[in-house]
Amino acid sequence: MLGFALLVIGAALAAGLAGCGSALGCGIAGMAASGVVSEDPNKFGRLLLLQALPGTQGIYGLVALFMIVNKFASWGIEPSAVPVRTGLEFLGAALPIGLAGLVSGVYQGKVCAAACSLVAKRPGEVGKGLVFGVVVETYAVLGLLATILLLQRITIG
Amino acid sequence: MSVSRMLKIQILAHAAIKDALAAFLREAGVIEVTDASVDGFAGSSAADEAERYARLLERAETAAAYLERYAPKPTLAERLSGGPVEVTSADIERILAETDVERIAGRCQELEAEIRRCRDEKAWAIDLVRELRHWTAIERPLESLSTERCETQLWSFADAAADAAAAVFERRPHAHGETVSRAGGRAYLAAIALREEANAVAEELKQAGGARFAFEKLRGSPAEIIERESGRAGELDAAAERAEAEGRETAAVRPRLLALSDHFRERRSLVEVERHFHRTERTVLIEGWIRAVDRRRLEKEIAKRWGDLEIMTRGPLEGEDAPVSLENGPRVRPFEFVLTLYGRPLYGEIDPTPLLAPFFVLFFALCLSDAGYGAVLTALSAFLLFKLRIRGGVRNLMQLMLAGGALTIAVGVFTGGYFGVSPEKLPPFMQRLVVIDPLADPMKMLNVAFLIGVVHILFGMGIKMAVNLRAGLWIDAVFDDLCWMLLIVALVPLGYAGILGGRVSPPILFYASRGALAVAAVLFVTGIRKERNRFLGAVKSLLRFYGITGYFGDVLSYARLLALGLATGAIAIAINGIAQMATGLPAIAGYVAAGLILLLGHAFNLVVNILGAFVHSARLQYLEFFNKFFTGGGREFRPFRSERRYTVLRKTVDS
Repeated sequence: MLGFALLVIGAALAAGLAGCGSALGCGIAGMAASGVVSEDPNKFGRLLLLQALPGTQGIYGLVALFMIVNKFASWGIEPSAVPVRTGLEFLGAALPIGLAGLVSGVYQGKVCAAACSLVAKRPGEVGKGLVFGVVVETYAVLGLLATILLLQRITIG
Repeated sequence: MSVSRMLKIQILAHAAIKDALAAFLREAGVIEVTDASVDGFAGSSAADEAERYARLLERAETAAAYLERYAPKPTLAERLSGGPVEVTSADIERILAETDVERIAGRCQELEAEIRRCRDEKAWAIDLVRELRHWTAIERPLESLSTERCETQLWSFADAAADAAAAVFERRPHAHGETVSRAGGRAYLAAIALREEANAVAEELKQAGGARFAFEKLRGSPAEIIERESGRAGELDAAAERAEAEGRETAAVRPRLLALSDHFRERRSLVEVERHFHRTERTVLIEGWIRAVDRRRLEKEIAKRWGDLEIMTRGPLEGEDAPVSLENGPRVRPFEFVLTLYGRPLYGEIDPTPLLAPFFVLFFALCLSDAGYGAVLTALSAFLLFKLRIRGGVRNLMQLMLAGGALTIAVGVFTGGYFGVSPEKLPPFMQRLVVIDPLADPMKMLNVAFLIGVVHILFGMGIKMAVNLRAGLWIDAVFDDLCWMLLIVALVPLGYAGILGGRVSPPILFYASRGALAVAAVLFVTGIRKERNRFLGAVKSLLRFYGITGYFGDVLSYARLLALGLATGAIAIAINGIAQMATGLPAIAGYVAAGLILLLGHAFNLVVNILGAFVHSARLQYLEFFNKFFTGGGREFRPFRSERRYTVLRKTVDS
């Protein structure tokens, strides 16, 4: 059973840590956005875009969770039949998106918060603020990619 | 498909036609007026006039904004497609004569203040009545409760604090407390104390947890006051309603106010642009930028109207900051939106809009990668574009979405993505169309993403080569750009076999590695030419090979095409899975829940992924593509033209 437990922990860390990153990031950006809206409610739409940007890490984490669960389901074996080694492999494969999602989420949130003040002064430049945020997100994307590639190499037996 | 050629234009005219000329130039809207004035200022009368129009504009706009709440609400369709109203200059004259903007704006301000006053006072009256209901047992007028020697205070205590309150009166034999009423877990108590100890008693009762009711300004018994204030609430309602009714009536002038605010804006812009003119006693000199293509037409139009003026044009001088205007066909123009998010090209630089357009759409489609989502997006944007005929910046965005959505359908068909339905459940003919299933075989899709990345990067370098060739720098074009491109081409099979673990036949690997070495040798030798000192040149030329890591990183970045595509598919599958679980609920509830989950879930996934697809596709242009050949940072061409917001001026015969 330990093998399966490790698999579950891996999936949970992928979704949980990345979700934490998104929650923190959206929170940081959201606070800055509220400040700007208090001055000019018309900027709500543009600011919502910035606030939502760090939300993708959580989604990537969820994608990783589903890929782990799907992979296990596709083998069609009992949970107790998962070897400890395989469980550890799942745990390891889950870490890139979990960790990269957590850290990149926080920093993307900070960049987006700064972009909110950019929008406050120059409403037309929201695109540039978005691009600054997307540069941070690259590492969450790469984390997801690393997780996917590692999962590909895990076999049973 | 390029950056427009700009000319500096100078118009020297007789001062008598200054105003007519300025108005004409604004209607033509082809000249960006720059500073020609030597003293930089047209005089204080112009400043006063500009200020006067600015004030009128502000008054008209605030009044119109206030009246908006009474104006009929436009439907969403009207708001998206609704164009400005047509007016003629005669209309404006008439409206100007019959509309007293200052008076209407002042009245609107008063109405707004009146409504606010009624609301505040009514809230106050309601609070007072609520409080006084606890004191109706007191039948005497409140102002007669205190005497020369005694002071009466009204307090309320939570029942829990009753003992503490009682203790106060025990401690102070000259003070007396009498419970008047009880309600909602609170006791309402009148305290009577000698004048000299009133303050001390009040302090102690407050300490005991009491809340004091200040009634010093009230006149009459509680019952009388309640009756009076209840009646007044009705009066306040009526007064507010009268003000609202007047607002609704006044709202009829709102279209006129909007027309006037446009008119004032126009007048102000005329006065303000004059500050840039150079004036002598008899002449006026106007200077500015004009697109070369507009020059002939402008000259012809001016010649038709006036004979006694002089027009001079010349190309931009070295170091002159010519503004940038982009010229693209209707198919490519929407993509200017993507470019201008990054910045405009410098004057004289290439316009990358048509070059990025196909890649942008392809990347967008790969990131979204679901035929179902693509179809929804195509249908939505087509509806907005062709049925509602939306205008403005959103129109460009929707044109991008239409192209992106259409290609997404194709990508979805080839990757078997239909709202996250698993490929085995698709009808056989659809299954046959699936070329790569990214969920089952992500490595294959990753290779495709990298290949697209290599092509995109090579294309960027090719543009740089073409630019160098056009500038006559064929040595740079061949030995820098072309050789680097060849090196990257040679490295592709090596990287595919060595890093991604792909299978490449040995002869190809052999030629690729020899080819790479040969090109690298050429690059090294020719790279020395860039330094006068041969030794330094050799070292720098060697160090330039470090750039390979940069290209490597660039190619890796295209992995996001796979990752985002997978994310769309995986979330869609998850939504379907959750909906499937919901069908297990009893009776019809399960199907309702499943339907809602499918609808909201897929809508959410679509929106999030469209946002992701857009920004990531744009990023690949800005960071991976543009750095090969593009600088950017040009200044936007902003011609002096009319800036009407609510109305358009219709030409009449006499104007």
